[in-house]
Amino acid sequence: MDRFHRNVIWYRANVDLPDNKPLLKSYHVTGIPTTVVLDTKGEEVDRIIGYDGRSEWLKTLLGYLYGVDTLQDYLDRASAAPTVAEEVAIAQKYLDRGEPKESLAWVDKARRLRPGPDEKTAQALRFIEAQAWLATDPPKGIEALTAVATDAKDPNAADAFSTLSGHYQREAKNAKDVAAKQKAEESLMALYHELLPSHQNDAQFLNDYAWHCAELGVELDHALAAAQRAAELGKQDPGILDTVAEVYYKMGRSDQAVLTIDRALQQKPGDSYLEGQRAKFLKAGGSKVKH
Amino acid sequence: MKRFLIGLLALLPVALLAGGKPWFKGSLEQAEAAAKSQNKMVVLKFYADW
Repeated sequence: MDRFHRNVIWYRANVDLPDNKPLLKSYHVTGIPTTVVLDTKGEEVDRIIGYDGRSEWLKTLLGYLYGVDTLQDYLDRASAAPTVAEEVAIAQKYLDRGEPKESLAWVDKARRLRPGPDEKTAQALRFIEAQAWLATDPPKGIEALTAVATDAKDPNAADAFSTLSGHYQREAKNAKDVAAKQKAEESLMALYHELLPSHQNDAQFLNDYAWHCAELGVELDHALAAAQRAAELGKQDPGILDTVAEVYYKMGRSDQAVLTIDRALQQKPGDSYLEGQRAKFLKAGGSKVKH
Repeated sequence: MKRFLIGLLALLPVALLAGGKPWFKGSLEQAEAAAKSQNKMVVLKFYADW
């Protein structure tokens, strides 16, 4: 254990601190948590995006510390005896570290290998390519990601939607004028509208749509119906009930908002976020009477 | 190599991820300089409190 610590310096950066914003940009951080392994010269060895559990995280981290399954390891293997799986992994790794052009080059290499990729691999390549285009040629990326997001048979459809949604939200947040902000918001809403008919049994999607409407204060009747259906599908998940309550609040129905958030609090008693929501609804005129 | 790693994994106490990491105090530049001078690697974790 000591030997392990003797070879590693642990550094952590809170993404919410303004001082760390330049770090987020320079390391192209797109998801939380992200763990980046740097060699003794400060060069990136590889990174872990997300958290699949302690055991998986540690196994991957140790591998990276010892040069196993890193980008360089894959490049060496692909150089010796290329396989489609390795070249897909390389394309993904370049994409993750914010090098879309390199990623696209490896997507092409993977497609040229014979025998060609199977259907699942071809779908993975299509998704990687679409994300890379979003960085190098946004209109082309948006078109490609929309195609993936609206293809119900594509296993990457939900992730493609998340990528596009994040893109439009960043566009709206960073817009230089009202028209640009409105355009980004309308694009995201149009995507929601396109996907809603095929996602009537997707609690997460319905919840996201309802929350988005509540944030913008638009389509609140549709948002309420979507959130209530999501709550039904999600077995009264407190996070979804919070969305139902938020929609009621935006509709000016604070009493209903309090009743709904109380149902969420029954499942997560004392939750500080939910308590904060309750206080907000009460301040807006909701009844204190619990039902 | 992988066989060695599996053995090493078995030896690692769970405490490693249970909050026992000695986080570096200072800037990332300082951490990188320390890593270079001590021939160490840096594990840089981006996280949020929420």
